[in-house]
Amino acid sequence: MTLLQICEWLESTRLAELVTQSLYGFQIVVAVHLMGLGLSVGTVIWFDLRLLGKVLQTTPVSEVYRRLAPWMLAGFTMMFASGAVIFVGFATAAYANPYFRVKLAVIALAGVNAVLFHFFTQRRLAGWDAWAYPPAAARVAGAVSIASWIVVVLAGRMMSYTMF
Amino acid sequence: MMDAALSWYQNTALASTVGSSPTLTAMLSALHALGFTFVMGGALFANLGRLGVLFPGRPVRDLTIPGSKLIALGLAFSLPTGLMLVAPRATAAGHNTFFGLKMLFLVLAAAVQFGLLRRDTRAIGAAGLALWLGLAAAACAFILLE
Repeated sequence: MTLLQICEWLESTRLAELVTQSLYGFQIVVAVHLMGLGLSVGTVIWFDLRLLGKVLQTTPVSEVYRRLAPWMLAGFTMMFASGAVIFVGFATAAYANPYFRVKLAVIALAGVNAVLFHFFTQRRLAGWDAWAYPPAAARVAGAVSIASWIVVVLAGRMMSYTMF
Repeated sequence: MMDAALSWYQNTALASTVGSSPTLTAMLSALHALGFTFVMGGALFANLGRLGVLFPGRPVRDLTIPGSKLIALGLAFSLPTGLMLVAPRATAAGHNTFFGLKMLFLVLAAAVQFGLLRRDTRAIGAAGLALWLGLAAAACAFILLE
C-alpha cells in the first residue's frame, strides 16, 4: 500500500466524513488546532529563551522546564490530535502540498533537536542548571527549537491557503 | 462615517493588490498567525505569572516584563498584516459581529496589559488572560465562520 493509497483510505473513513461534511466539525477542529498552537509554541518558546539565557536567568533551567511542561504537554496534545483529525479529512490534498511536507520535515527536526537535548545536553544539567547563560549546546538547542516552530507556524498557514 | 472610511479603504490600491494576489494573502496570513502565536505566548506567561500559577514565589515582574515584550513583538507582526489582510473585505468585516468582538477584545486586552503593567494583582492577571483568550476565540470565529 503506497502513502497515497493510505491517504485515500483515510479520506474514506467516518472521521473524515465528520470533518468535511458536518456543519461545524471542520471549524471546531481548526479552532482547537489554533488554540493548541498558541498554547504549545507559546509556552515552549519560554523554555527556549531560558536556554538562550534571555529570561528568568536566576531560575534553574530544570525548574523552568518543570513549571512549563504541563502547559507544553497540553498544548502539543491539542495541536497534534486536532492536526491529525484535519489531516484525515484532507489527506490526499495535504500529501501533495509542498508546505505540508516542509511542515512535517521541520516538526521532525524539532523532535530530533528535543531528543538530542534530552539524551546528551540535559545529562550534564546538574553542572549548569543554575547558570544564567547555559552552555553552547543548550543555547543551540534553544535557537534551533525557536527557529523550527516559527517555520512550522508559517508553513502551516501557507499550507491552508494553497490546499483548499 | 465609518462605512465611508471602510469603503474608501476597500477601494485603495493596497486592497486591490492584496485581494488579487493569493500568494501575498497567504504570506500575510502566515505572518499574522506567527504574531498570534507570540501574543498568546506572552499573554499566557505574563498573566499566569500574575495569577501565581506559573512560577509562584518569583517576582511577578520577571514574568510580566518579558511577557509584555513578546506580546508587543507579536502585535508588531499581527497589526500591520491584519490591516492589510482585511483591506479587500473591509466593508464586510466592519459589519461582522466576530470582527467587532475581535477588535474590542484587542483594545481592552492591550489596555489592561500595557496600561496596568505595574499593577501585578491576581485580578489584573485574570482579566488580562480572559481578554487575550477572548481575542483568540473571536479571531478563530471570524476566520472560520465569516
